[in-house]
Amino acid sequence: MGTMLIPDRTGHTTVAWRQGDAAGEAAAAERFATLLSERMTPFVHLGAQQYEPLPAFDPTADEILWVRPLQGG
Amino acid sequence: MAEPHRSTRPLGPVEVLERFANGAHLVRIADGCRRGEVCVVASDVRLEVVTDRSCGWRPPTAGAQGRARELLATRCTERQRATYERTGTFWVLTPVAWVRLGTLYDLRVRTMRSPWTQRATCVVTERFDERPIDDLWTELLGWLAVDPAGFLRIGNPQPCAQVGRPPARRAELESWLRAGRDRWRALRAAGFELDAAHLAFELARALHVAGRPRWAADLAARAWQQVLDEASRFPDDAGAVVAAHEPIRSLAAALAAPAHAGGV
Repeated sequence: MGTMLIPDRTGHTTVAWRQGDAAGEAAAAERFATLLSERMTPFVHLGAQQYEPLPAFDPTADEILWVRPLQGG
Repeated sequence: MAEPHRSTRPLGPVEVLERFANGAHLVRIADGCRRGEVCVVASDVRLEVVTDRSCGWRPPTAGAQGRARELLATRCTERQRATYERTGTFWVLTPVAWVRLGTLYDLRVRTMRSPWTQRATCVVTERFDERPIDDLWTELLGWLAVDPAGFLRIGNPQPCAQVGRPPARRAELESWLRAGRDRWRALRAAGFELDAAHLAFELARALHVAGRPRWAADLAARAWQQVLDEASRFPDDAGAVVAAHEPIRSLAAALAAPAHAGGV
C-alpha cells in the first residue's frame, strides 16, 4: 500500500493506493500532478528522518510526504 | 500590520484572507518581490484578487491539531517526542547544523562551522498559518532532512549568543560564571537538556578562548557528559546524538589533555 500524506487544515489528508491496482495508481498520480501544480513538493520517506525529493509519481513508493515551499521570516 | 496599506503602487495579485467591516482587506501578496507578505489594504485600494479565502478560511480545529500532532509524532524520534512534550521544542541534528524547532518565528541554530554560537532564525512554509502548527514542524523536519543548507540560507540565522566574552578580572569573571551556571541549572530544571549541554559548551569555548583552560575543561566535560546522558536516555537515536555532538567531545578531550591541567 502506498500513501501520500498531505498537511492541510484538517491535520493532514491521506491518499492511499494499492500497488498494482491500475485505477488506484492513476487516481494517486492525478492527485500527485494536482499537488505539484499547487507548488507543493513531494518527499519520499525512506526511514527515520530520511527523505528524498521525488521528481515524479512513483507507484512503488511506500510513503510520500508533501511539503510547501520554505519562506524566511 | 497596524496601519492599512495606502500606497498608490499596485500590490499585484493577492489572496484575500479576510474582509473587515470598514471595507479594508487582510490580503496575502501572491506574486512579485513581496510574494507571501500579509498586509491590511485600505478599502479604496483596487485589488487584483486571485483567490478569496475570506469565506472558506477558518482556524484549524482541535481535531485537526490532534491529527497533526499524531503525524508529527510518527516523524520524530523518541527523544524529540519526549522533549517536545516537556519543553515545546526539540533539536534536529543535521550534518550542517543543530536546529531547534518548536517556537514559531524563533528557531535556534548552531551551525557546524561555529556550534558554540547560538543563532536565531525564522523559517516557515508557505501558508503555514492555515494549518495546525504541528504540520509546520513535520514539513520543516522533511526540509531539514532533504536540504539543511538551503534551510539555513533561507533563514539567514543571526547570532544570539547566550554568553558574552568572559571578563578579565577574577571577581567579575566569577560573577559571569555564576550567571552562566544559574542559566544552565534553569535550563536543566525546565527539561532543556541539550540546550543546557550547548550552553555549557558555549561557556567552555568562551573560557578556553579567554585563556582559562581549567574552568573551561570542567564545563566542556560537563557538556559532553550531558550529551552522553541524553543519548543513553533515548537509545533509538543515541548514535546520531553522540555523532552530531562531535565538536563538544572534541573540545572536552582537548581540554582534558595534560597540557591544560595547570591553569585556572
